[in-house]
Amino acid sequence: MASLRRFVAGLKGLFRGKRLERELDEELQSYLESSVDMKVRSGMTPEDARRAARAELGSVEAVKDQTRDVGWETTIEPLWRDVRYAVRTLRKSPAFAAVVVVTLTLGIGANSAIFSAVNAIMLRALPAERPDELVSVTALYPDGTEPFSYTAYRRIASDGARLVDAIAASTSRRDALTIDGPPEAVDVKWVSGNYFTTLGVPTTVGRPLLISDDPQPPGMAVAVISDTFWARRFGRDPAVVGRTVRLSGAAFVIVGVARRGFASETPGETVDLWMPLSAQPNAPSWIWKGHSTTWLSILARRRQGVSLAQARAGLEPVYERVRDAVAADTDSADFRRSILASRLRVSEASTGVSRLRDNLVTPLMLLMGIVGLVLLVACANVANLMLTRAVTRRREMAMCLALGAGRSRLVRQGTLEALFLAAIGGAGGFLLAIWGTSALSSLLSGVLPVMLDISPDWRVLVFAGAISCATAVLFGFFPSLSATALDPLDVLKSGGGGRGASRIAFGRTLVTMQIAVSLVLLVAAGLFVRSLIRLKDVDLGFDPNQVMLFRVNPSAGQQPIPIEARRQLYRQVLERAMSMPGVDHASASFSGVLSSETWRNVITIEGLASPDGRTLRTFANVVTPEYFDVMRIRVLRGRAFTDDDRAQAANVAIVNDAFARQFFGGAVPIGKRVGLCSSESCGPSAARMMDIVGVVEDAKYSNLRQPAPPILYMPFAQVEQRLGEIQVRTAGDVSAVGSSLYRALADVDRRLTIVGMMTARDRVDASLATPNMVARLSSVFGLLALVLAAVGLSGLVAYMTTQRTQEIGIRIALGAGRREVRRLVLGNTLRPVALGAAVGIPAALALARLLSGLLYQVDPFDPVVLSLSLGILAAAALVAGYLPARRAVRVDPIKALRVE
Amino acid sequence: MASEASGLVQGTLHMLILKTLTLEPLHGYGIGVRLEQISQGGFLVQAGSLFPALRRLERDSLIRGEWRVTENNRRAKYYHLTPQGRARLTRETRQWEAQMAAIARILAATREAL
Repeated sequence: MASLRRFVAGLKGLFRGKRLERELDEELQSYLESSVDMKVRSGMTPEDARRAARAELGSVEAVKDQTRDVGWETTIEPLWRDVRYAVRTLRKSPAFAAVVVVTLTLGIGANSAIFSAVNAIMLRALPAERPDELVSVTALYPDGTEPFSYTAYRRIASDGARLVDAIAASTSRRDALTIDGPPEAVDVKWVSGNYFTTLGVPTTVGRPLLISDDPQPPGMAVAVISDTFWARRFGRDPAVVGRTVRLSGAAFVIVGVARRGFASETPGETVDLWMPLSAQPNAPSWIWKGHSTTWLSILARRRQGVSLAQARAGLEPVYERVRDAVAADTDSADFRRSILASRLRVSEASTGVSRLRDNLVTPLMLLMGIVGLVLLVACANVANLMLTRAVTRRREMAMCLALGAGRSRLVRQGTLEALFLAAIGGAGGFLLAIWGTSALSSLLSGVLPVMLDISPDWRVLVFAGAISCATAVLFGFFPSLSATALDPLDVLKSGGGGRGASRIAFGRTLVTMQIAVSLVLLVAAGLFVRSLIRLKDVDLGFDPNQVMLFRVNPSAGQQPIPIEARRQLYRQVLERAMSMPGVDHASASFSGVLSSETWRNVITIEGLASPDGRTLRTFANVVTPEYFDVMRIRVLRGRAFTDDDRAQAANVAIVNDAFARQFFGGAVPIGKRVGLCSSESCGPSAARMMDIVGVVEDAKYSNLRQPAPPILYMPFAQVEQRLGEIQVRTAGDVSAVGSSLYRALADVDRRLTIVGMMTARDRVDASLATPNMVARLSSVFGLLALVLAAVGLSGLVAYMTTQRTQEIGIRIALGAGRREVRRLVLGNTLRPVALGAAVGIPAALALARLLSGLLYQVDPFDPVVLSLSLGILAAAALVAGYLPARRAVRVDPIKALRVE
Repeated sequence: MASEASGLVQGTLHMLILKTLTLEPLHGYGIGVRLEQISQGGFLVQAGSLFPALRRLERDSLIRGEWRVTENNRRAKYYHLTPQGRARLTRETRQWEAQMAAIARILAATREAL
């Protein structure tokens, strides 16, 4: 209590320092006067009394000091004074302060913005209970990770139950749900029954899914909905519990609403409904048995007292048993080899599992590195400015030292100034980051689901604070150390100016470093831009202009449509589309354009023994006859599908060029027979064989970077497969007919739901979102670094020129022309640039090699990029040197010589 | 010098100041004079000890200062005791007496008494 009172009194003392001081003065004055009065009364003369009173009192200052020292605040008061002093000195040089603050704001802002994205995608903890107990369990194959089959999950969950509580989840999928009116597009996720209870996510209303909902299939037809879906669709009506909804013809009862703020265990995924794994309607039985379908990711909570290492050691043998069972089951040597080489990875999963993160981790780390370098360049600039200032304040420093100020006090003063500036810069940077992340999320919109919130949180604030402090140390503490290392006598004797030679040497090192770093960043940016241009120019093999894509879900809310009716339905829809004004052609296919929904299958080819027993695999697609016309995929040989290729006619197939090259060595395969296998490796007798009737041009499949894989096209009329996308080619502007098309197609039949609409051009652009983001941001940051370096260079040259004003004056007086003077100054400019380039080129080349994996068809040592970067650098250097050179030329020799 | 010579402990000075203020509010110089008078010259309190002590007591809310006009028509800061100050004085006086008694007994002890 008393200490609190003292603390408050101390605070008052701090803020009312002046009043207290005045009061003490007055009090001492009255003390003195009373003393004099007393002495006069006892018979002294006023003069004697005054003298005696003063002598008795002693030093007034000492008394005041002793009195002041009573409060705790006096120990921090010098610090407070220093802060006030720092603010005052900075107010005296607003231009300096402004440049420093702007530089730091840019540097810290760029870092905070990128860090926000890193934070949201990689660091933010799962909104689950005790996330540190969660581990992610993945199967690592020689060529990447694979999800688990249902059987594998059940096995791992039961055999590993002693160690962990394992949950399984599919990825969230768009599906059509019937609530009361027409079908609606929703995101559905299939999860194991212990999903909510194990993650520790409660429900706001109703109950979560339970283990009893998810027994051996068929499971209970129940669903838990997300808070956002609850708000969006039901207006948070608690009566939602108990309502029945229909998905793929099956009725599901909503049993609960998940806690607000819980989206998914996968960052960035949106889910509207969670349903038990085993309740999937119309699931083919092979999903539940064997390992042919792998579709589940596993997350597990360690049981009490089980360490990560123990969980790992315990689960590995479980996985090995699963693996061996799968290997024994297959008759493909190829697949057996691959699965036997796979192993289990058990790792910390407090931030959830995310394929999104896996895809973005490299670009994000890269950008983090880039902005880190930008900040370094910014710091070098500020340090340079601080040094220049320190030199001009040498006399002041020397005076302080001569008067007895400790060097530590001066260093503290300098660091405080820096901290103060860094604090403003940091605050500015944080604000910039808030703005920057909204710009960033629009850049990322093709990569990130809308749900992922990357706006800064407390962690970003801490980060911004930490880097502000770090920069303050970098540009404040070290320069202050060097600035105060001086002999006061020397400086005061020499009249204060000083040569500042060490300042120039240090400044030159800083500028050289800046130039080198900017060159590295420019080269990196150049490579990314060139790679993006290459990707944009890539030959797609189809024409995405004037094509609108509709994602459809055919079996919504009702019993699955029999195949004949389904074919009839699609015929109607496509006819309806073609009857619309402005529409050229319409087609439909199983895999959409550049979609991640791909179909890979084992095939057999008549007369082609698979070499070394390897299973033949190809990607497959099912299309309607107009598909090649709509997508403008050229038919190279033979013919396209026609309406005559119907169910009763001979089975036909069309392959792409890559298929012909891979399986027929480039020979024309028309007339050859190919069949799809329903199990691992089969012979021509076991499969339904098709005649190859045509070869089409290679078109990019799911990814722009990879060359087209072999693709086998089959006519929709002959294969029992659903269609996932409708393509419509329009005669004129595609966006003009988009919405009327949407309405027209949605009206054809209640059983068909359109769950997405996008132009093919946008789809192509979306697949370029990541390279686009990297190229843009690296260019922005590269140029930012260049500008900062140019400012630094300009400052250095200007300073050097000022230092040499006298010399220049003498040269001019002795007859040096403008050209010589200009050359002198530009020489000063170009020397650090040349040195920086000499350091920067090998560094850039080394970095480029590291980046080569991220580049598309660009040589990391691309001469165009390198020479262009050097050119830009040289141009910036010339601009930076021009102003000081102009000033030097105008030096008046008389004035210059009269200076000292 | 006198206060140092008499080896006055910090806490004791506080107690004495509180005591002088029980009778009437006094200003700084008045407190010094009063202490000198009562102790019959035994204590001479210097400004260098007095003012820090006053500041500390005021901080702890044991006394409170008020600017008033003196009998000589000057302004001076008069200190008076707060209720907390009075309570503190009572407590400290009791402690002091107990301590003094103990010390006195020790000093008065003879070999026989042990």
